[in-house]
Amino acid sequence: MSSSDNGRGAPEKTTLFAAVLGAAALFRPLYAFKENRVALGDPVTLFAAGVPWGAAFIAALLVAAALLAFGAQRPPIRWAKIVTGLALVIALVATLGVAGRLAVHGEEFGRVTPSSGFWLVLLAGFIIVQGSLRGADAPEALKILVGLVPFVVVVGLLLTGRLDSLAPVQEYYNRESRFASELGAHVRLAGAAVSGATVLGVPLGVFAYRRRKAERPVFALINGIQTIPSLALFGLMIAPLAFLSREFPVLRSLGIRGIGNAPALIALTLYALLPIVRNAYTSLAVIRGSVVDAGKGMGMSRGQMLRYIEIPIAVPIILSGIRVSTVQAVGNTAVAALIGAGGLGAFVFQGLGQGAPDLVVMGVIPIVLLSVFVDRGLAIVIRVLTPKGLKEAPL
Amino acid sequence: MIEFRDVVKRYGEQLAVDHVSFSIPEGEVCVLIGPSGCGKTTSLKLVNRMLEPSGGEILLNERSVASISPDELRRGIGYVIQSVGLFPHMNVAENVGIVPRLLKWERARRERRTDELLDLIGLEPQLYREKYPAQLSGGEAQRIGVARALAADPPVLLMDEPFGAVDPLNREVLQLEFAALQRKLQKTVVFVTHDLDEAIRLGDTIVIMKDGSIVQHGVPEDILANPADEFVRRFVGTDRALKRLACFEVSEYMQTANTVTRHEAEQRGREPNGDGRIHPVLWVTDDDNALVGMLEPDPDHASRLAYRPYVALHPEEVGVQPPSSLREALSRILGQGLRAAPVVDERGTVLGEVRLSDIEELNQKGIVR
Repeated sequence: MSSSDNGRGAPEKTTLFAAVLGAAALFRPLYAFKENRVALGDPVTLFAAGVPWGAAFIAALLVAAALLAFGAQRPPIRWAKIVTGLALVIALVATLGVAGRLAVHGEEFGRVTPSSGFWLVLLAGFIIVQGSLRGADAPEALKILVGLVPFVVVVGLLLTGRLDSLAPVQEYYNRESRFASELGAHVRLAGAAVSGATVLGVPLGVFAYRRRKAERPVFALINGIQTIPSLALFGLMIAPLAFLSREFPVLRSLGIRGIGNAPALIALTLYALLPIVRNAYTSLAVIRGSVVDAGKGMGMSRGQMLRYIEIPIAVPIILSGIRVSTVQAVGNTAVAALIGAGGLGAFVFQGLGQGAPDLVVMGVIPIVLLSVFVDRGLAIVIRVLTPKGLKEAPL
Repeated sequence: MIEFRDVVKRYGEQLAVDHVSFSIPEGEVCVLIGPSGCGKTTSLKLVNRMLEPSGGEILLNERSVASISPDELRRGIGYVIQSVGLFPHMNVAENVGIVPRLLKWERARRERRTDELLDLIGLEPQLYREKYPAQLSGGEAQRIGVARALAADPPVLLMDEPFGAVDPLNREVLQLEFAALQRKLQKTVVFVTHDLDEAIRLGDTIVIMKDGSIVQHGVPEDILANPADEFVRRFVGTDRALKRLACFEVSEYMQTANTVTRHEAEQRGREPNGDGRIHPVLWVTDDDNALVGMLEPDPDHASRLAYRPYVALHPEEVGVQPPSSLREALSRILGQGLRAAPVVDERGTVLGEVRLSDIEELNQKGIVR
């Protein structure tokens, strides 16, 4: 849903929708209090959580957002909405932290699990921020940084122990040492897959562009891989790799087996290929024949063509492909835990197996944060590297 | 000087350029023209080695282009193509300064040269330096394409249908601007087009090609007056007499005009001048000598020595400027139903006139059946 230009009178629908959603969600439970890890929780709403100032502030922010939705779509009002949304997200998380601490006071194994009310108000806050940021008249990099503010604040609250009463955080403390290694494995696996896909994919895209005949088969293959569900692709890897590993001891000594890192890496790399190959191909296809002709005709050597024309135009486009691939790979790597490759997905599947939703959330949140930071970070890099003439207009 | 010596370009069995020989003297514009597939663009691309000939050779200042490395050769030849090919990620200044950059000029010298060129093509440097190609109109982009080709001041320019993608109105403006530029710069130019009017307007000589061979090579007025064969006759069209007039400049056929100020004309009414003679056309000017109207003889008047009532005229509608062609003068004359067209400058000041009778005489002398 995107905000359209409204005059005064007609409300801006996105923000209004979010405010109403958030207000309705206030009557849903904010959290569930559990005496221990496996207990069924007691639901508690925001107003019963014992943090009256927090409840009042959150309610006031939702009212403010609703009122702002009726204002004209001018920059000051737009920025007021953005600030309201940011404040809503931060206030909500902080209030939950304080409420949780009150609830578990004196209970050795007590913990609180964020419930539907929390998630819905959080969603409302993000809709307000992103909906208003999208059309805001500000440098792209600034918008990206503003969008990152709530994530940075949440990470800060986590690191300073203010969210320690939350069940997913408790799950984290129980697995603190393993968390670091699984996070490392996740980053390494996704990073290796994207690096591999870049090394293979960029030349493949260039090749597909330069050789007309190769274009169809290359894209048929890469698109084909993309249509295989990730779980199936991981499964497909097992048999041939197990066979190779059995037949060739050299491979086995390198750690290549039917399950584990090797099949995961291969499958993730194959998945990461499509956006990279496609963008590498496009990056050259957008350079018009006339531009190449003009360059050649004025006496540019092959190297100068590359340096003055091809690289400046192509690199930002190739990087956008790598960005899409990376975000995908961070998500796909979670599934790789199923075939024993480790990574943050291990917590997710463990949690599912144990019927412990808090553990699932504990695994999912760092995956989400990782995706967001990688995506936004690369977006800024691409923004900086894109030549000015190409930002304002299509090629 | 550029010389084609028995040049052949073969694609498999097909001859794109079939034993072509001609030369272009220094400082002249040679237009290659013909129907599509006649080999004109191929011939042009052989000059800067975008294509290599299958036989014969091309000499540039008595040196075979084959003996010069392609990159070095091309840096000394300006190249303008129909689709312009401005680099979309570079602003106007960077686009214009690219060849000097390849030639490793210092930054200050490059910037000076860029501004000089933008001035030369009539685009305000302050306004245009920082613009990107996507922000330019077709005509502006094409001018900048020409400026880029001229950046390192190459003695030779190759222009491949440079104004082909521009709308007709702007095309004419660009042609006139280029003609004026060429008078100043005196480059040796190979110009490919399929537009005969453009060829006549810009070419010192025209090479008409068909199926890879030259059918006729000469100055425009000769080609129009004496088409070599049926193909050329058809190619130049039945209106060749009219087209030929485009080869002659107004300034060469301008005669003294008879003028009278508005003030005087009003005082005297429809009576003739003090000398008692009545002129075929009497141009009326304001106090600044700018054209405002005219008087024509009134044959029905009793005395036969009086003018018709005063007719107001707009100089931009009836006047032609000295660099215009006789074709244009003729169209003004016919359009206004006059016997002559006034020759004016930018401010409308009357400089002289071009007479219908002179145009008719010129036409009868030239055209051969």
